[in-house]
Amino acid sequence: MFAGPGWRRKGQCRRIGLHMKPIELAERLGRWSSGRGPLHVLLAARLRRLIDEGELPPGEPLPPDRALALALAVGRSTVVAAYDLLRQDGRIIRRQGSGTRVAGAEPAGPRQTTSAPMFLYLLEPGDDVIPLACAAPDTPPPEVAEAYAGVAVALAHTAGDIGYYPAGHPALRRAIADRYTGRGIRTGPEQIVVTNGGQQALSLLARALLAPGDRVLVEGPTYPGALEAFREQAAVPCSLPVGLAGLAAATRGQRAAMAYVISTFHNPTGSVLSPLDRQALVHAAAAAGVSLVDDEVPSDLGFPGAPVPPALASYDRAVISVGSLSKSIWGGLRIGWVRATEPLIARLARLLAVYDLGGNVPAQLAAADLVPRLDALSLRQAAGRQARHDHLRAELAGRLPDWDAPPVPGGQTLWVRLPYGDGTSFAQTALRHRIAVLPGSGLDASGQCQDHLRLHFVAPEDVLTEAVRRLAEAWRAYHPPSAPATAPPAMSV
Amino acid sequence: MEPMSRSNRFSLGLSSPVELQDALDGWRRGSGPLHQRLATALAGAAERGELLPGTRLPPERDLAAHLGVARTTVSAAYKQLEHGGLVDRRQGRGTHVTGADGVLAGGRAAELTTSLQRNVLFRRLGEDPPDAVDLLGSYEVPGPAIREALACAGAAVNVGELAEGRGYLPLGYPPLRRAIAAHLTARGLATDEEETLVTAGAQQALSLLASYYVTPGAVVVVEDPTFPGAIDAFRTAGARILTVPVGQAGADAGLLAATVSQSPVRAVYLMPTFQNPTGSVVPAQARRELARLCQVSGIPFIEDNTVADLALGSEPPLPLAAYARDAPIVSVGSLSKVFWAGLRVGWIRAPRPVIAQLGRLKAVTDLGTSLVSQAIAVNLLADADRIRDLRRRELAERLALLQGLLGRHLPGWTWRTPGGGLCLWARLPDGSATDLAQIASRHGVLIAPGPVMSPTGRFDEHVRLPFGYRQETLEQGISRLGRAWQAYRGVLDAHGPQRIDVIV
Repeated sequence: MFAGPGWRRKGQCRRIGLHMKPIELAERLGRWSSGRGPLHVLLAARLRRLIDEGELPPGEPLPPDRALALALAVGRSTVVAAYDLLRQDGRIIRRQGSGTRVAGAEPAGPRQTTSAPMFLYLLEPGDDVIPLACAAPDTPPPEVAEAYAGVAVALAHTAGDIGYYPAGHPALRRAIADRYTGRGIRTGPEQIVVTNGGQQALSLLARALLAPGDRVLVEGPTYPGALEAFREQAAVPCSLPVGLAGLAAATRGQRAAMAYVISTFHNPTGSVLSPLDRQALVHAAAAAGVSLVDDEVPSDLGFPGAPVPPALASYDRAVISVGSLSKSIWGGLRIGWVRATEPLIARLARLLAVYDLGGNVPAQLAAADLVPRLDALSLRQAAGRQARHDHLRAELAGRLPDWDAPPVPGGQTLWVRLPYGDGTSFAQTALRHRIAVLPGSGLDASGQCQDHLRLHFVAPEDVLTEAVRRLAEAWRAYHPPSAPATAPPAMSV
Repeated sequence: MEPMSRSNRFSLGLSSPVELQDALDGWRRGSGPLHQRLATALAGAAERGELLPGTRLPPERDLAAHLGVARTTVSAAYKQLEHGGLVDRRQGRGTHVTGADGVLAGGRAAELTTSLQRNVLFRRLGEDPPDAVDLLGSYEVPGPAIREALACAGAAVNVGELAEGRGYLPLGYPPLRRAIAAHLTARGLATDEEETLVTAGAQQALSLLASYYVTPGAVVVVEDPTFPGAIDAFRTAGARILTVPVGQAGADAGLLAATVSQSPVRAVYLMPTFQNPTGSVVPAQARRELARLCQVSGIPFIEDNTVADLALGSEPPLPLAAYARDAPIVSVGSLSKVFWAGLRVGWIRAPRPVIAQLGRLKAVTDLGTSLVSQAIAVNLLADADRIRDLRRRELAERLALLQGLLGRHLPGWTWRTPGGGLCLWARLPDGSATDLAQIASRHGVLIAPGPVMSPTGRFDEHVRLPFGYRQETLEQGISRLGRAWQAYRGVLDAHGPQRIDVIV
């Protein structure tokens, strides 16, 4: 369609030299192996889909047989057979010496979108794979239905309500502000903007605060959705240790536009930043003139009795806080927020007016009812959360004793280290045993953490039992590639 | 007709006294000396991104005259800002906002400036209800029958059963995708579930499409005038905007064809049915030509059908996409105008590969639209025809009311009665709509002057008047507008037709 040289924005960064890395293609393939039939047929079918959807544009070079086989943890003959099928139906061209390419002449399509596994899994059709990759909450607690029942009544009385609230419904902004004030961080409603979940809060902040090429200091590992949001702005995430230790040194001589930290029940490691470290971090960020974003999304997910230090914003009101009801209540609500200074909030609200004119009113009214009850609700769920955590760890200890899965004081995820092999190729093997896990490399901007997996314990205990059974089965069948298939994912430069 | 395009109007922030006055809205509030309050307000405007680094502030004398304060007040405020390092003052060069540090310089400058325009329309939203009558946006306020339908649709949702084991559905709640496909199919546009994506209203549909199709510097063709939310969405993505004029029969297909053959056009945005703001409708034959143009050129055409269901006379032709099954036509729709904007449910209908890519963008943007809202939408769509007919009756009455009020309060104004939609595009006999809007706001009514709707800043002889408001709102708003018009006429008669305050 459009053969201009400028059509790739992020994609261009990701594919320097136009050579898609095998590992990257493996990510794009998603749950290719979860269907029925021989592996080479499944692989060909998925590649065909990517080609037809324009994800693999005409002319795109495909990895050599051996490299792709390594990345997918399959035999080379599987890849060769799949490529043969595609060649027969004209989708690809194979030439001695010049390798394998998608058939057709010009690159088509406007731009690349994401290839992050976390998002691709969400777009997969439902199947019998246990999705241990995405820490999505299962079903909403009964309070949600109660809150909505009240909303239905309120809807009949919406006289005069035009329905547009780019900054958020006043009732919800007040409820969220009051919750901060109740935690000792004096906050007015005008310091809150309501977003469509925490993910939108992050993409909004990225758009407001980041220009192409800006450095963003992130923890390694961190929440992959944040990395995607930053890369979407062509910013460059740079990894520091969890807790952003070394921020001062990292900003000496080289400006960073933003620092992103998950201070409490960190995703994925579950760790909690100590009060002393909090203070030091806030001071370092202020001294360096870096906008510090504290992702508080997991902060209500503590286990019974787990101490929660004061929020970063209580040390400095310039800290930008991001929150959400998705993990503590239900992702289907799609309610998140940003707490920041009033002028920044005004600016974010104005951007929201361009992006989507703000969130829907029923969910916001329901949320306004739920936020004041959040503490009670979290407390009620804390014991169950810990029980599932303990259950998952016990199952892992029983069936996969050589995996290192340290306990956490809260959150939703275990950060598991494999004794050998790498997360990416094991995730491929796991898929064939109908279990989806998130390999660690995608959670680290520098592509480290290859030997890690993120597992969540949101699912009910019987599902976790079955999940670990499948993982153990996959682990027995897993043959780590002799040459590691872990070229770090090409980064936005 | 006018030639098709001019360059983008691209200013670097608010520098004229009039615009600055807008940014300083309410600056006198608070305590302390006036100059201090003014300095605080200016600093706030800079932090909000309304005054970008490099912006030249008005000369002291001009700003003082505008704000109705002594020159020394402005002088002291500027001095204070200079001390704080926020502005840079040099003899002979004027006063400039300094750059480029921390939060102030972050983000994309173009994005901030384009969002300013939007701010004109949305400034009042979410603030305490001012006593001004707000006729800025083309919203509609649901009447009792629709409120009842909303309540029923909401009550019928079983929240506990919604999850289906997955909270995040970037492409949309499957029953809603099916309902949208059935809805479009019933309206003559055969659609498959897989060809739909649920968005948070049509505005998100446009901003997703903009970030998908537009790379910085890419050319997008839009109608002039057009929906300001679309201008913002494309500009935010860095588009260069070319325009085609809109006549009674919509966008000029011949000029559009010439434009796409001369420029490397990345996408075309059209509102073929009840165009916002002109109300025009592209006839069936011209749709066929447009669809063919799309097919031959291979350039994606985005058709915005947000108000296509709101016919107030004869039924409009089928959507553009129905005229060429295999052309890259992307259709945008919404429940906002027929039902209620507060649901924030809209959709994109596009070829499957495009939907697959947009779904990924949607996932990165917000992981998907709120599920309960989508479930309510399913119930509403089941009742769509009945509610649509209610809305049409309601709107026909309000349009008749508005036309009557215009005849009474605004003699000399002319317009074509729109065949549907939510807006009446009124033409002033003389004077500037931008100036009138300033005077109108002092008379307690907020109106959108034509240039807000124009990527080229034209149409200053037009005002967009939405008629979806309740009777009291329309009556009060138009009578105030009438008084503002009288006052403005007095100024015009005394000083001739030149502008009062020139906006740079």
